Amino acid sequence: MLWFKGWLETRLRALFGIGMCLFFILLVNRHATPPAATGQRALGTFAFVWAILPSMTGLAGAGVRTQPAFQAIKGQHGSMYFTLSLPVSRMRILATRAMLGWIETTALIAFVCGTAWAVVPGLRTNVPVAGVAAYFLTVSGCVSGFYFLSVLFATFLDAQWLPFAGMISVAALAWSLPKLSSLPFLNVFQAMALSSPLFTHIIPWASVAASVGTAVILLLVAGVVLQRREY
Amino acid sequence: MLFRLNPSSGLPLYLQLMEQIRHAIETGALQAGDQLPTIRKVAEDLVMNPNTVVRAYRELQHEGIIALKHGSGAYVSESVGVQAKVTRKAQTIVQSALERLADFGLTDDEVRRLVDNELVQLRAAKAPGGKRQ
Amino acid sequence: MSDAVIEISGLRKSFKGEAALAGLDLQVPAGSIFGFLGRNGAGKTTTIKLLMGFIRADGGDARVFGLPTSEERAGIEIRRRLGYVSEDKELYPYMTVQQILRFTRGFFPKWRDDLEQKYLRLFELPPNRKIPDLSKGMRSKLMLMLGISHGAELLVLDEPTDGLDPVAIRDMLRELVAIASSEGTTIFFSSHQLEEVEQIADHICIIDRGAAVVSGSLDDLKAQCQRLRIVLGEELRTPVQWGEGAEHVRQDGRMVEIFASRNADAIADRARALPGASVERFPVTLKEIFLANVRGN
Repeated sequence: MLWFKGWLETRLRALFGIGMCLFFILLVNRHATPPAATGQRALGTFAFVWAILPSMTGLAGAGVRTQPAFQAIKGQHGSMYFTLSLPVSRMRILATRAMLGWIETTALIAFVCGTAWAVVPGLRTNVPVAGVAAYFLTVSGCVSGFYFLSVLFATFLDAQWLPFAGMISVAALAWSLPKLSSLPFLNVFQAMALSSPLFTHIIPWASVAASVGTAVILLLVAGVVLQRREY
Repeated sequence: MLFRLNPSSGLPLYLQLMEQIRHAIETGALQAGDQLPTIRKVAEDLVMNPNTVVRAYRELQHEGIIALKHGSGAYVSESVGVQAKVTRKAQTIVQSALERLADFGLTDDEVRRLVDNELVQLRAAKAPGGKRQ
Repeated sequence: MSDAVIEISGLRKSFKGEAALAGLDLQVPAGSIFGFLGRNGAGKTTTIKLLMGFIRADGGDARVFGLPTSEERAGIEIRRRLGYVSEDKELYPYMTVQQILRFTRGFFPKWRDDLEQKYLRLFELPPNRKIPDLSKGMRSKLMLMLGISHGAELLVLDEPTDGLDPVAIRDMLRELVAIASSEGTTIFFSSHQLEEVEQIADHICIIDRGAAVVSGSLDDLKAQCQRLRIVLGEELRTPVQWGEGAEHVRQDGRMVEIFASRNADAIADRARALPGASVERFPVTLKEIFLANVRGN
């Protein structure tokens, strides 16, 4: 039942996904086929975009963009009180919302990858289906970490934009700090760009695992936070 | 049945309802053998607590004015005709008391207040005690 | 009390150092219509939030259906058996009446179709209307209906008639009375509208500054409490010991007014013993009981 509600909350986000897709297509089109140097740089930048934008869409799936998911402020969205009055555990409420958002995030990534590959002639000739699939897996794995970070922020930050701001700040920090970038297997941005299957033809499992592992931990922490929170 | 209660008058609702039913019997709106509306109907029509209606009905049964037949509801007692005679006797008593009071030069309202106060005292003496925090 | 649906003892809760509840004791008998009264900020909503598991107590014990409200598993079981109407009556703004019924139904295996149909008709709720387009009165009815339709044994209502026009109030009260008498549902509602409580409640509790100051059967309270007006032969020079239960003694020349919370007879006798005294006794309204027991600013 919570899935049904989540779906109703996110129907409009498809537009956003289409926009992102177009952006990626234009970007790739302009820089021809990898491994052109400019293409690599562009992909690196786009990796950052990958980290942020699908998560925002996904978070909207978790109900955060249109209305703060876990907020119960008098007069606006006190509907959280109704949700909490139902015979469901808080963990279940969180997990359902978070997973729905994650599915939407992943679907968006798949959509963008698939459409770009289908549309851009340079990609289609140079990259096999398996390559795109591998790229998709890498990106969705790496993005998961960021997505669940914003889910965690959403459980205790009540303003509509704060979870995004928090997540974007952390992402920007991770991207710019040279120290973090130097640990090769932890650098997810690298994993989505130069180290990505588009160039190396193998999935950077270490980075993906690190990101997914972090995602699981973040979800559990979010569960604990929500459990203890007072409404 | 068109009963009218005033929750803010201070007089407990069950007493008010009892009064209304007695009055209905005296004026002939309810006659011996007539069925009273169900507790639920009274509670819903007057928007009052069903337990209060139950209490009123039980007290009236205790006084012999109505009879509660298990399963089929509440009925006005057959002996109510007798009650009407009692009412007429009571009327005579009240009449003579008022005539005697007329010499005191009290206004109607003052007389009513005296009577009301005595009634409240009588009832309070009869009502069961409760617990106060 | 073994058949108490709600049992609270010594409940304590503070927010940012300020005590919202300071040792509350409360018992709600099964099948009763229980009015929970208090001034704004006295602790009514905090109590309800604690019962619902929205917040956790700092101390004391609160049980619904004999289950502790502080435990998660027990809390879920409690919420399966009760219906709740929040103070704001806020529901999901992107759903219609029909959608939220379908949504809520999914959580309750014992959903009563008959009650859903009955109340949909009775409350005249248009199934395809979006919730934000409903008036507050209709949202209140919808929320009430969501609780009733799953066969709740207890309804917990936070100021159910707040913001409603007189017609909507009458409808709401009437339906509460109807559901209490037809299904035997216990009704626990907070209010500061004394007239409504006086009308439908059989038990009450008045909370002031986080603790219960009066509680019990409304009939019993009204029987015990009385207002005495005493006119004396001459003004009192020395203060009089009126006895236990005499509260809020006010004096004005040769008139004395006493609010008796109990022992009205003894106090009246004491009064009559004074020279030239005449005593009048009046029944008290819930409003007077309330004002006599809560502290003003």
